[in-house]
Amino acid sequence: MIKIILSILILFSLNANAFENRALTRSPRGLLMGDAYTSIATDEYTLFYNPALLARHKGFSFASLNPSITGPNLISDSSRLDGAGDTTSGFATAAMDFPIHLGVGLAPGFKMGRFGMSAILNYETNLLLQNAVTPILKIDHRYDKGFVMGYGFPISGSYSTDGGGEHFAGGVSLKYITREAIDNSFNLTGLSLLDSLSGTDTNAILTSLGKVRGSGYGLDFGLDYANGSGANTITASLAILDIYTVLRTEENDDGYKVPAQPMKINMGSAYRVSAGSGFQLTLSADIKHLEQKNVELMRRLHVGAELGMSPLFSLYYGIQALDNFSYGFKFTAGLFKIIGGFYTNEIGEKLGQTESNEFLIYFSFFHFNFDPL
Amino acid sequence: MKLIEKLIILLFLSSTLASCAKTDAQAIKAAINEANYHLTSMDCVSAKAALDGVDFQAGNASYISTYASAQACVGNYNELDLFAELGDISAAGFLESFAALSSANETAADSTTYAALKAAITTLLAYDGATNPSTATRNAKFGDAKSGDLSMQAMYLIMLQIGKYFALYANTDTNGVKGAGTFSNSCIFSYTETDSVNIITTLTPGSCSGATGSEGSDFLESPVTAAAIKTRLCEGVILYTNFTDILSNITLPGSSELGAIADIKAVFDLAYSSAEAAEAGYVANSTDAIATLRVIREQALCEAADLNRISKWFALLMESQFTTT
Repeated sequence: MIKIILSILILFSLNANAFENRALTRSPRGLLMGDAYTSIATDEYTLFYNPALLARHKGFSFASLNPSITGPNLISDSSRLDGAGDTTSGFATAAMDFPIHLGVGLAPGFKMGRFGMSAILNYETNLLLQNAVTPILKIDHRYDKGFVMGYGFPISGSYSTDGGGEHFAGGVSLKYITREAIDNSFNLTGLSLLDSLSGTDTNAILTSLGKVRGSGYGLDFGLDYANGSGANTITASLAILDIYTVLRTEENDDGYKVPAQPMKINMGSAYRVSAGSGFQLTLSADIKHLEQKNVELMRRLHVGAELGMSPLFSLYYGIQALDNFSYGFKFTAGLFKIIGGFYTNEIGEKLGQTESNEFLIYFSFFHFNFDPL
Repeated sequence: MKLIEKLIILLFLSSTLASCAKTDAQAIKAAINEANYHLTSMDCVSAKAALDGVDFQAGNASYISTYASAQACVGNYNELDLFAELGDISAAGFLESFAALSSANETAADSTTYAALKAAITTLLAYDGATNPSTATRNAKFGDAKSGDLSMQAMYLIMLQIGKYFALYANTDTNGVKGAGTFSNSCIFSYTETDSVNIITTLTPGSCSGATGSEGSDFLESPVTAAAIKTRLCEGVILYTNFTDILSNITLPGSSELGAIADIKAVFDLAYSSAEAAEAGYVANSTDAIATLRVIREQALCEAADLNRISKWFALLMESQFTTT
């Protein structure tokens, strides 16, 4: 069966192109593990990866203030953006083929038994300038607000993250999103961009760049198999995210549409071994975007690792799209948690064309788990 | 393990049933994105191949823009280089300024670079093959914003192409001064038509002070065929008419980086009206040359026009705007 599936995926990869990653929100831990997270998303981002993983949860978990900030990784080229704001030519020189990403997100929420709920608050702007002949600036700006709530239910067996066991579980989640977005491309020296930027009112500028608003409900579905005995745990999961998510655009003069939240089918598996005293190793792998025919096989593959050195400190490592590496750390002290690191996203039409190197810093100021049983 | 097998079967079914190929719109967007990626490294061939992977999209402004960009790439065109020189352009002597652009140097007719820019301009203006394209038609089709982007992209290309045109045929030097270049001609064209000869000998515009039939560019006289001469003259006519059509029908942004471009409209409006008024005194062979050719923006329409009128257009309008000596 696995050979058949791999054959199909390889066949799909022969026609590979056109792919955009449009995850609603991503876990900092997941990002640093190569986004190979479908079967291990048991942190406060569960509902953004696989609602079936709620079936592993017991007790009460709460995360209140947990901002994450992402931006361009300028460590290897710290003067890259010097002079970018002086003139159009200066900006073009600095930004040509250099993806500029800015993101701020919050995902406060709670889990109570197998039910979970999380707020969606995610701001993200991506700028990409390409074409040395007639420079084209691609603007992908989003500000998502809303909530997602879900429930995980064992179909057979019984398993919990702390207690082990074996189960096969399902899960569903419902979400509501309001999205403010710009998804547009402009000639850098063209009339519409120069005209827009000559204004002084920020909102008027964004509107002239094509800012639109939309809102709608969505549904996710997931399956989860988990088997934990002694020090070893094996998990395998399937998530069909946004199986039916429709965002309706508010009326606007230019007829722009708010970017859709397309369906994604992801499959993941992981193995974790614990050696006591908080020392543990987790290896995970995902095959993503099974819903798309025209994506290179290597672009679908994500692998990651977490090395827990102690209950306080962990290291992360991951690879996605063949040569995009991620690495980082987590430090936990009581109710406080910090995660930091670097990762690379594949954003070109074809594998290896354009990569966005980004940093991540995440703080959780009040996060706890409580199991009365 | 039976549960894992169930999971795999479900995966197989869901991916088989739900996986989808790109829609036409996604394929076009992907072709444009990929072309832009290749154009970043000036890989013109790969960019063109990506765009040719889908049918030509005459109704998609982004596709038209990128296609023209891929064609201009062959001419090693860089819009930012031109943009950086806009501040040096003088509205009063805009033809001289265009000819003085650093990449406007041209020493041979119909060069690869000139042909590449010509193809790009044609794509931007005549993307759908309609007769006598105009800025107003583009505005109606694509809306002011997208049409404005196409028009400005065309405007930049035309400015450089006009510069190349006059650098070659008007024999300009690096400052754009007519008749001061490396060739020997003092006029653009060797005028033999009665009205044109009278215009030149009376007005003596710039270096063009005589009209004995040999003062013009070698590239616009025998042994070049009459058809090729008319084609080249008409290239100059429609570059000028399309440039003035664009500037007359878009509102330029208030960016200081555009220099004096917005002021050029007043200059050519005055040049048009002065030429039309002056033409009243030279009507031996034709009338209304300026008014007739002013609204022609397509090569074929220009080539169908009377050569006497085209000759008068150059004598009255083109030569008269090159007065710097």
